[in-house]
Amino acid sequence: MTGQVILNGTMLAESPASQSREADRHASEAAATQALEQLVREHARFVFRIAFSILRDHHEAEDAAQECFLRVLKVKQRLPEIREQKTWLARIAWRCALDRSQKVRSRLHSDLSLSNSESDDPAATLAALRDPAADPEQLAASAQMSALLERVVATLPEDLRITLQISTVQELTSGEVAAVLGIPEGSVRTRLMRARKLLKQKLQQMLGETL
Amino acid sequence: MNHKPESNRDQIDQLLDASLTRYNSTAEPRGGLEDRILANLRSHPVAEASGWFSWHWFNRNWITASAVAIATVMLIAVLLMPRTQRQNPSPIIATNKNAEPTPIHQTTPDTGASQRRVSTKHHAPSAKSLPSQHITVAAAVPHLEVFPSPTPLSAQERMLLSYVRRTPREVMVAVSEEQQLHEQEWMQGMQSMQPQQRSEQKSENLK
Repeated sequence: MTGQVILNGTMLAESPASQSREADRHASEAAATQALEQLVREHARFVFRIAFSILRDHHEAEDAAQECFLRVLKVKQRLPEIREQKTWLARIAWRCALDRSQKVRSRLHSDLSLSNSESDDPAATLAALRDPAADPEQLAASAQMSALLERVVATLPEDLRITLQISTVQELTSGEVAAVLGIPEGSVRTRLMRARKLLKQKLQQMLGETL
Repeated sequence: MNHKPESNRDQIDQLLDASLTRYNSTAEPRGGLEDRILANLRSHPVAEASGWFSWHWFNRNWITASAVAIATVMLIAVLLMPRTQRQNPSPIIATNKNAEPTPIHQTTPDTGASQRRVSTKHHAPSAKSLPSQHITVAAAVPHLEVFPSPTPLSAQERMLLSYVRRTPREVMVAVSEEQQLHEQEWMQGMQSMQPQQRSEQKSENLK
């Protein structure tokens, strides 16, 4: 009987063991799809923010988020095995964003310089800084200050810049930032301190020039 | 004296804190990001689960897979077989009934097949070093009507051919009859001898 089924070439599809295997496969497939959908619903915006922190462009960040989940799709069967899904996802998003930033670096730089020329007025911002009555919160909220900060952050060394940018994603703790970057947590703190010190120096230097 | 720079420094600190807090505040995607991502994921086939070659596919189509594997092995074997083994090496001369039997290299049209054959025979070790243009030209020539391809006559064959041409037919018939008669006499003589004498006679003939 078994031999006949083998000769028909449909033994594996017709035997009860094969049917149960097929059912198991469908069940695991459905479970993996459901887990992936849940992952997307929970973390899509988080992934977007990580990508945006690096790319500084909404369209590019969304494309990076799409790419990130496409990479996840390839390993969706193994999703239940992953323990720290958020950190794991953050790392994938960070890699996607870095890959994408290398591709569009020149275009982003030209966009940044264009936006600076249009909306950034460092002299006005720095003049406001000289005013003791100026409110730092209001200044920080201004488009000019945002553009100025973008420009100053872009001048930082890459390791400091990336650490600073990732750490501005509010959902990530310093430990998770360390896990994403693959460095010790102490190194993250050191880099953040150095980045902040450099930013302050550059702002002071700009302020001194205008004074 | 230092009051103003210190206040500036404090202000810069505060400004930096506030600015870095707001640094990623504009990172809000357009609405429906999750739906767009899910739609994109659904439109992409899953390589791991439904790839054309998977263990599941192999289980279901093992006969097809075996046939494909055997065919692939045979094809590779044929391709790897030396070229000389694939060709029939017997040099048979073309038998064109309408034409006069003349040496092949004079009457047969100069075909690429014959050239290729001669070339393979004499220059086989350097076949790889031939220019690609030569190979292309040879392959473009159509096949001969006669198979296997005719080869040039040997020196003995050419001598026989010229003898046949020169000699009148009556003379050849007479010579042939005389030769047959001589052979018959010789056979009768051999049959009448004892086996030992026969071997001696053979050895004498050989000498």
